[in-house]
Amino acid sequence: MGKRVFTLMILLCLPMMVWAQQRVSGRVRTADEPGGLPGVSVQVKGTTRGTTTDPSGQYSLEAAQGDVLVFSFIGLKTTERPVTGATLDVELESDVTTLQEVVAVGYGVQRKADVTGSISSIKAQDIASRPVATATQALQGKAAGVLITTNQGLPGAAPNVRIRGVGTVGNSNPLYVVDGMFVDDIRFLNPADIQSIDVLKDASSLAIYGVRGANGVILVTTKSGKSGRTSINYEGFGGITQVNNRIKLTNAGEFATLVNEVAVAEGGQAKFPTPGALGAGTNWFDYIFRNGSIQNHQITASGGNERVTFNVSGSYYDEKGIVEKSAYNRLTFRVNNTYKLTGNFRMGNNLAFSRTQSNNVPASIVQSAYNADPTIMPVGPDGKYGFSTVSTVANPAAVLAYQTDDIARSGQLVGNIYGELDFLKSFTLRSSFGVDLGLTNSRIYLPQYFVSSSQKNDRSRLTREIGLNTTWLWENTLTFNRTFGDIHNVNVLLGATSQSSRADILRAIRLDVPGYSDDVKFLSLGNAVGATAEDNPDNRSYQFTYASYLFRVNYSLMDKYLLTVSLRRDGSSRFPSESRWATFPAVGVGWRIIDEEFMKDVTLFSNLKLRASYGKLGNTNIPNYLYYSRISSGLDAVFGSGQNLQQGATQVNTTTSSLIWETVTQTDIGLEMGFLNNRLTAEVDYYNRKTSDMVLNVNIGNGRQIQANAASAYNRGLEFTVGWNDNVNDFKYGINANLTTVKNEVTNLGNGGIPIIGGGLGNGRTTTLTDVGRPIGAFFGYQMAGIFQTADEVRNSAQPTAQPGDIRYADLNGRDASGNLTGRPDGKIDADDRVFLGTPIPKVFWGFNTNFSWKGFDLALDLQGSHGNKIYNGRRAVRFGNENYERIALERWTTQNPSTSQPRLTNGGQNFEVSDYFIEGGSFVRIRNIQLGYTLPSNLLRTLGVRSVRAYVNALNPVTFTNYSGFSPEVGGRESDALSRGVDLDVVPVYRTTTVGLQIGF
Amino acid sequence: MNTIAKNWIRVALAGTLLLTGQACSEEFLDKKPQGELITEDFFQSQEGALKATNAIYWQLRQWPTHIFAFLAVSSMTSDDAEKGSEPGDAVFLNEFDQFTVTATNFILNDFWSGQYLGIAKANQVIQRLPGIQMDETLKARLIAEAKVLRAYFYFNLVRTFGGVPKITAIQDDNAPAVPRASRQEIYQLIEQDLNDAIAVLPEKSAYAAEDMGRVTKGAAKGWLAKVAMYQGKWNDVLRLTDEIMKSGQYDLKTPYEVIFTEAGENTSESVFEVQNAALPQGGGGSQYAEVQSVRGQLGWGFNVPSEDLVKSYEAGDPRKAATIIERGERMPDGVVVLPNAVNPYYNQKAYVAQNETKSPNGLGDSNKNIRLLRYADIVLMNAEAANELGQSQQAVTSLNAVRARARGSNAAVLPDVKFTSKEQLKQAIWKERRSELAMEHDRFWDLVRQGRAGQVLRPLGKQFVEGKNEVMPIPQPQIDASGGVLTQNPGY
Repeated sequence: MGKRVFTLMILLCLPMMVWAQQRVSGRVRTADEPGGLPGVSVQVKGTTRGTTTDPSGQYSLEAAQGDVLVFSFIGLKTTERPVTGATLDVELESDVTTLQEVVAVGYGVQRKADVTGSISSIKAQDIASRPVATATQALQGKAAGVLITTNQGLPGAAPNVRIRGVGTVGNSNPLYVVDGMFVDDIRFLNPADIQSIDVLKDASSLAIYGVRGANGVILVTTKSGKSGRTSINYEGFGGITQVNNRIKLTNAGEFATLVNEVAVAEGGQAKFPTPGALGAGTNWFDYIFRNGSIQNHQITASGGNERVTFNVSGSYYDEKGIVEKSAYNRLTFRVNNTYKLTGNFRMGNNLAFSRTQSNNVPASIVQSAYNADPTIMPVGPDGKYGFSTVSTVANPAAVLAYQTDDIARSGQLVGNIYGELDFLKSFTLRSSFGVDLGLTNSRIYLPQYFVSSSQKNDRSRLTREIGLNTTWLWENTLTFNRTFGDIHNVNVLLGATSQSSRADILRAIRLDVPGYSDDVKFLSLGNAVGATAEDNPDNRSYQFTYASYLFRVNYSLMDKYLLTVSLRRDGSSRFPSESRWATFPAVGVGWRIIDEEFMKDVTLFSNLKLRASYGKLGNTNIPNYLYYSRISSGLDAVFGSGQNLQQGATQVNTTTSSLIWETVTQTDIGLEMGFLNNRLTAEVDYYNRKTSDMVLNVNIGNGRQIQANAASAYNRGLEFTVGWNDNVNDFKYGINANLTTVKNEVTNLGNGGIPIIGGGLGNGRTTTLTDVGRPIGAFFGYQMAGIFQTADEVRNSAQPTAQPGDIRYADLNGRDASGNLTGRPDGKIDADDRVFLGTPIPKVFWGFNTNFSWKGFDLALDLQGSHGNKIYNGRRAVRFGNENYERIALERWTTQNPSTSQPRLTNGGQNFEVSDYFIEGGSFVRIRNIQLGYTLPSNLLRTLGVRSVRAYVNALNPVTFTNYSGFSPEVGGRESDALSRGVDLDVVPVYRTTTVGLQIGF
Repeated sequence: MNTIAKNWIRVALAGTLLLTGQACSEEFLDKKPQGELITEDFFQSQEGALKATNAIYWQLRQWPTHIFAFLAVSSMTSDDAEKGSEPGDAVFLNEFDQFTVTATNFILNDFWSGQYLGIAKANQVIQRLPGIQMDETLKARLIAEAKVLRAYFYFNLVRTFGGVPKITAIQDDNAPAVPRASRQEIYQLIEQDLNDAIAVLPEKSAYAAEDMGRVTKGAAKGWLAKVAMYQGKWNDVLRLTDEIMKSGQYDLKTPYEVIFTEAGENTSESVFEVQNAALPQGGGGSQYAEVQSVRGQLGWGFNVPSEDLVKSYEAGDPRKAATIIERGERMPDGVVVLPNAVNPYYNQKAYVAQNETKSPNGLGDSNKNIRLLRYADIVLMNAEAANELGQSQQAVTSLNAVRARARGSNAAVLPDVKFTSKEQLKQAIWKERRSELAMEHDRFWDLVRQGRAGQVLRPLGKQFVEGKNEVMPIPQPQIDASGGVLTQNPGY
């Protein structure tokens, strides 16, 4: 970029001098642009004379015989050719050496060779044509240190992204920065608009994001136009989505037999007189799952000239989910422009508009189908929904009919306008003003219905919610870049930014709204009498602001010794004025050993660089206003002979005035290597992220919970990235693998070291305990030591109230007379016998990504794996009464079948204590994606006026290898709460997507 | 102007923009909560004082305080009631029925939290109101109301767990966990609070009509009498119950079968009841009735009368029919109970008739007031205290007053009890308490107080162990939250 700008400046500012020389002309091509590449700088070596190629790739300039022309273009190898005649055509090769690769760093770009931090870069082609709604889904397995887990297999759902472990029990989501705008979520982006994604992982690269950098930053750069010929590209794909794996449940006859057995054991009557006559019954999964569909169309126009470039795109994405009635669609538009107004002043804009609609279904529907009574019919012969007489599980078919009128729409405008001024040769002043405007509008309509006394709604109910989110971000930066004496390169960034965000929500409910058509589902047609006082209406708002100062200096000595010092000072409205400002410094150093004299004769390496960084980052992902002691309203009481409501309110949440941000202190040591002319590259990083002042939601007893800066933890491990890229004649291939290890451990819990309880199952039981010396959200419960076989065994055991067939828990601990733990059995099973039962955080995860091309064919195969994590099978662990069973229940303990692994069946009681009986290994290897494409030969197309055509087939998540018995081993956890990670309950499984697609370029 | 000068002006401009163009003032970073009150503003006015007091009453109709956990702890434990409902539904409640409850039973933790959340709200009022400039009479009354309710919550705790942490001020988040006080200290606190309140609170009739349902002098005295009875302070019991009986605020004129209907709410029988209303906009009721109503027909069917209770009534006692719903029974409002209902009996004292007012949220938000203290209880306490103190004449009079009301117009049943011995009369009063107060959250604690819980409960198959099951285990989450400062009760 710099060179081109420099050239242009010269062209614009200096009078053109002409020597009496011959005119040389020619065309510059590349393999990708056989017709000619515009915008290539052509310069006569050793002079200031030069030009750039026109939109058809042609150039023409004056040069003498024997002069050397230098052709340069970013991303291509700079090539020199001597002038031997009047024409000189050149084909430029792409610059595959990573040394020249440029990566985005905060508030700028940098040669990868100069970077002292740890940054993973993903290019557009690495995630191209993946059938996903959001780019983060396509990043799974693509970058070392980045673990992406699907939370819900519902269309448009955002995955859970964790960079270098789980940093906090609170919100560990990274910050997304899209063309400079800070956002929480990038679902508004069409993935195909993305040029590159750079994941900032270490302190040196993150400190410039200060108090918001602790969980890592994902920098997204969208595509911009290039000066030259206008290109128009269309891409469309379509296909189907399917559940990979269905859990096998008992059929009607088997279920009835089991229910009878339990009823009799409980001292009651058999519920089903003739189980054998019931046959297979209803498979509820058939009623809630379907083959979904997916389609996406987009068109992009891109081009420009020396002064103006543009990239304009539009896309439409539409997905019907694997659960009936779930759907998501999105329309996006993007306009990215740059304008060169004068030789030293540029402006530009990146503007994106998106509109989405999500048709939501209750995530619990999968659990309902799993639990529902298979002996009943979805709809009986009388046209009425069936209902169970033995359980209160809702009829899933009726849930689908009545509880799925839930539509959320949104419109979002995200973008910025910026100006850049170069002055005094080395200075650039940039001012950027960005906005993120979001409007959400949702409707939930619950009709009046009656299926049974436990599945009914007496009065129809309409909920409308409208939200307006407004964020502006103003950033001013001044950069100074100069090389002194060819030895010292100094790049200094100074900046000041401010951000203000505000959200307003208005929500109201009315009853008795008619529901025969969408045209009448409006509040004004409802009954004001009857909606509950708390809901009617609900008007909330919040706002927060940040003010920040930036400083960074990059210094390189002789291109060998690198130093980066960065610092951000942030003030945030989330904290009280006395502790509002924080400073986050970091330092990074690098040594390009390959450029040392002594390496000249070492032929093994083509690149060798050692780097290290250390610094401090913050996390303010906590609710607003926590430092204000607030009053809870709506605690109304009834008084008076007329029994009227009198308003009540009081302080319930006690104050947490001293609350401050969480701090992450990170050390990173990395080694970058290249071999065989960088065909083989390798990168190894050791990282150690220490979180302190972690904000916890702490049970402080007596029904109170507070948020406090209570805990510390670390995540440390190694990251390996290895790439091999080569070609043998027409056969080109690349293999890129990455592997990450994570050791997560809580080192301190404030508040007297009270462990944090989490992972609630909704039946009063909690599955995880976060304690010192253990991973965040580790599973905690009893150890199963077998099954009681006889009444004698029970009598002589630590569980005298058990019955034969019940789980025997290990008696591991007891207390002495003074109440201290002894570590020895005490002849009874109680809370002291609970132990840690594994971690939900993978110890190792990896990705293995390959691509091959031969002539017109291309193939990309991506694998991903995760190891060492456990899953709590919450589906099986929650029973209220006579839910359906998994087929393993047929192996239950009975007097005839004295099982030693499966307990007798009960509807609750001691066999449902939290124990390792419900814990399974969560390791898996998944074929994440396969893509096979064919590009038509270009000579065939030129006659048709088409530049390129490629057709492909793609399969996302086609095959998974795992021992886990549930739907899918990819379990993010309920609402991505760090303390319920790996608890498989109310989770809609990850699914398989198979698509065919077509790309056409004009 | 030369170029260099121009450029340096640009640098200066750039610097100015960087440093002053940003809204970096503290004002820009001050963002107050929107649409929410903050404590320092709220506790400045009479309105805030009143609302904060009302919030304590709100707690009384909440799930952890008086619904599931309360039924489990106070009722299913007794010989009057069983878990009920489908055998497989909410099996964790069986642990209360069977006395197999352990510290990890979450219902127990609900109960603890439900009481302490009320105590915390009372402490807000007791501690903050003195600083508010407002009507001093009203201020004193509101503080007194808070003290009575605080005493009530502590009474529930001390009856259930024995000694518990004594928390009488707003608890600072960072304060160390409070260890358990002794049972004696908690009783002293309760007595202090109630005595303070008695000196201030108006009698029931002195309240304005719109304030009906607030705690009264009579309620404070009634609870103080009960607290005294649990400690065997019979002189206090007699004195306090005499005062209540002479106050002119209460009588036994409400027919027994009316007391638990909507018409029987807040009558002269009522000493204190938690006000619930089925309001047109909802939000004024509780789930108390729903969880106890006929399973499969009206509600969830928990906390059902036991066979033992049904058999315990004297022949012809009309209170049996007013307390117990049987299968196939035709209710006064015409509803016919399912002849094949899951359970043989349901609690009629929690029954909501079809002709009573309904919330849009149904029975889950019902109007049923939760009767916590009735005049009959006062009169029976009076009888028991008089008997203990050798004043058998007054004991017999009080006891027979209760029987006379129960008898109604049918002179053939429930004959007057005659004194033959102190022990005979004590047994008669205890029996009368059971029949009169059945399903009213009194029986289990009464049995423990009388020292015969094991003797009564074990023949019914309940595994009550003396020296252990008089109190429940301290909930494990509370011990965990205290970092081990709370000690477990013996035997658990």
